[in-house]
Amino acid sequence: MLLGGRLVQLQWFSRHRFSNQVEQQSTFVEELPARPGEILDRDGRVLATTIASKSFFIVPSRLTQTPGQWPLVCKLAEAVGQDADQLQARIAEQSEKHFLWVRRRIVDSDVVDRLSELKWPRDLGGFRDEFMRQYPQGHLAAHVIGGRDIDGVGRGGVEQHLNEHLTGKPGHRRLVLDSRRRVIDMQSDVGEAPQHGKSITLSLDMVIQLHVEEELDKLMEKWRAKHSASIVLDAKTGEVLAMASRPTYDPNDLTHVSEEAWKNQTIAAMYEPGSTFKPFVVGWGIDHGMIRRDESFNCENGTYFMGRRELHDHHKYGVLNVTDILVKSSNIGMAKIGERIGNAELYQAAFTFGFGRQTGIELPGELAGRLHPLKRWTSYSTGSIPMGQEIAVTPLQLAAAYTALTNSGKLVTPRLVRGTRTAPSGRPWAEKIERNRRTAEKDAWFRNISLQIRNPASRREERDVDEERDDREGFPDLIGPEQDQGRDNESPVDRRSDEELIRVDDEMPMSSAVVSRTIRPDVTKWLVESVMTEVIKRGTAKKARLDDYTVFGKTGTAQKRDPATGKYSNRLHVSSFVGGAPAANPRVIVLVMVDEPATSGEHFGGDIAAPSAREIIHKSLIQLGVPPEQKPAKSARVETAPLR
Amino acid sequence: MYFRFGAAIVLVVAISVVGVALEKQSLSYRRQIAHQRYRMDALVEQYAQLRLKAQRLGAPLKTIKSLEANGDFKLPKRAAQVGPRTSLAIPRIADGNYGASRISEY
Repeated sequence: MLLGGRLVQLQWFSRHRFSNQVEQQSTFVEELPARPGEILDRDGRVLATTIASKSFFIVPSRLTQTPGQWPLVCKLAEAVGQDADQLQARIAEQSEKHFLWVRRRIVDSDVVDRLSELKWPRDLGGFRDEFMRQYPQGHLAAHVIGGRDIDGVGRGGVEQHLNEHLTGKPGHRRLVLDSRRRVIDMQSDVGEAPQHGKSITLSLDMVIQLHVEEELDKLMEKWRAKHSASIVLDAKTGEVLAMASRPTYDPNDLTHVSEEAWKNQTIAAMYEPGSTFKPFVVGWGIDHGMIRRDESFNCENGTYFMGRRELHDHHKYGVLNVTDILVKSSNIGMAKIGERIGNAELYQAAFTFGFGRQTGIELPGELAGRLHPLKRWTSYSTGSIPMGQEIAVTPLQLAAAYTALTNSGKLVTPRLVRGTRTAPSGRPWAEKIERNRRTAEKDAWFRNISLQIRNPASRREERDVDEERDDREGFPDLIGPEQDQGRDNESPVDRRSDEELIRVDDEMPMSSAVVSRTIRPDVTKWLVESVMTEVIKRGTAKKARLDDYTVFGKTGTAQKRDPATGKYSNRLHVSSFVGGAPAANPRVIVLVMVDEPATSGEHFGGDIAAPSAREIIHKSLIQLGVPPEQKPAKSARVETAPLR
Repeated sequence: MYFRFGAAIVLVVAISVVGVALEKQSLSYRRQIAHQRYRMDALVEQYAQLRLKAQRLGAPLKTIKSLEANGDFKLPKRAAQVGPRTSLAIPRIADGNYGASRISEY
């Protein structure tokens, strides 16, 4: 009876406990890590990839109980190249723990060999495989790519923003062990395969990126600037072809990165745009019939009292027409235009061109710039805003706003991510092929919002008329379903994307390629092909002139506030240039920004930023295969053809 | 009776032998699958290592200087048409470059 009762107890009531115990003793669930996806540039160059590496761990709780511990620790320290005393101290500190990394992600195969030769007791530790991120392009595009910390979590750039998609999902499998815990079988039916991370294709072109970074290095060396940044955008699609910031870092070695170097100046630095903002004000004024293209303004020989405020120009100008106000960058002329336009319309102009809000680029830490609400604007703003003061922008915002001028008034959202390449488990790097499709609803929604912002009914009617006229003239939308239908509307860059056959993932947080209307096409055409090319020919940006292409652009020299006095400083400046080429059919927009150039007292954007921008524009156009407009002069440099 | 008994024994033994053989065959296949998986993992890893090496060696950072020094790069051959455009796009032309061939009007 007693035995029977005991039998029932063991076989019935305690059976779950015993079966669990047996399972724990005889099986082991092994995690199968997911391989993070790659990051590629638009031509398939690898910007970030993953390789397997060995890491070595020990079990301090057992090691401290082992007789002859010190000789073991000495051998181990010698094998990994560490100080034995320090290693022993670490082990003593963690003596209660069952796990301690000695060295992670060992790159040197000699170290792995030396550790293998140790024949380290299995119960005291051993190797573990871990994935290690590698960046074969070195420091190029470091701020765009970001990096991964010691635990493989994305930090900064695309690595952080798309961490979830890049990382994938680990799987697991159950192994059957014998009494000595050696694997005798694998229960594949109860396991789960890892879902490897998706590979992501960016819009960057690493050749252009290299040219940009080289120019920034030269700028930093020559002008001993505090920071600098540069962006190259595809003028048609808003795709970011290059984005660089100084100071920078090497993502392969994140141990010695200064705090300053982490900051991506292109999206996280705010500065007053200065004269680079002027074309938007002039464009808005002409578009709304407040000023005429052929109108002239008296620039008061360099001094003008706007209420109690005294304004000055760098040179004394008399009567200037609108073109010359921009070409000579007259602050007094712009202030008078500002008086004509008024604060409410100036605010609408700034907002419509995308200032004061994030662009939505697929990067973490983007700032929105600063555009005060209209109720905080004063009569002082009427003079300040048209000359690019009292408003703060990020370099990316400003470059993106120029896409409206090169796209017949259509503001294009800057984009960095082109699509994904999935790597299903068991078939790494297999590509799922699907055409890039964008929803028309998003574009339509944003266009409506844009029109509603401008609001007055008369404007809406006027806009409708404009749209109808555009439609009649067969003016193609740059981004949207039309592009899928008609291949003739695609730019060369788009054609390359077709060949790559990249999939756009609906779940991926990509910026939508929305387009909103700003000002009329004839106004933007006049600004780009007439006014801003004159700025290059005879204005403040002569040093941006190219023999092979007609460049357009605008320089900016903004005073910074002196932290000591809180007033505008005559010593601290932000020098910038925004422009592009060819003027007749713009392909690239280039922005160069130099923060606090400190050498030789020069601070004008035309002297500091424009020469670098010229080099970047030239090399970018050649890389994109844009033929020269004129026959190169004999003395012209022999430069590159597209590098693929 | 002995015959029946013997036949039953033989049948049981035969079934067992066949079962064992099938089990062994199954185990052998599973080993092969595991081996193939291991080989594929190793090959994938090798591919990743070689790809990394190739990308490092061919990175623009390393190659562009020597290519420029050798004069391997030239300006695109065909000049663009200067004048008003018809299209925002530039279709590819025969020699592989891109050129503005459609004239637009506003």
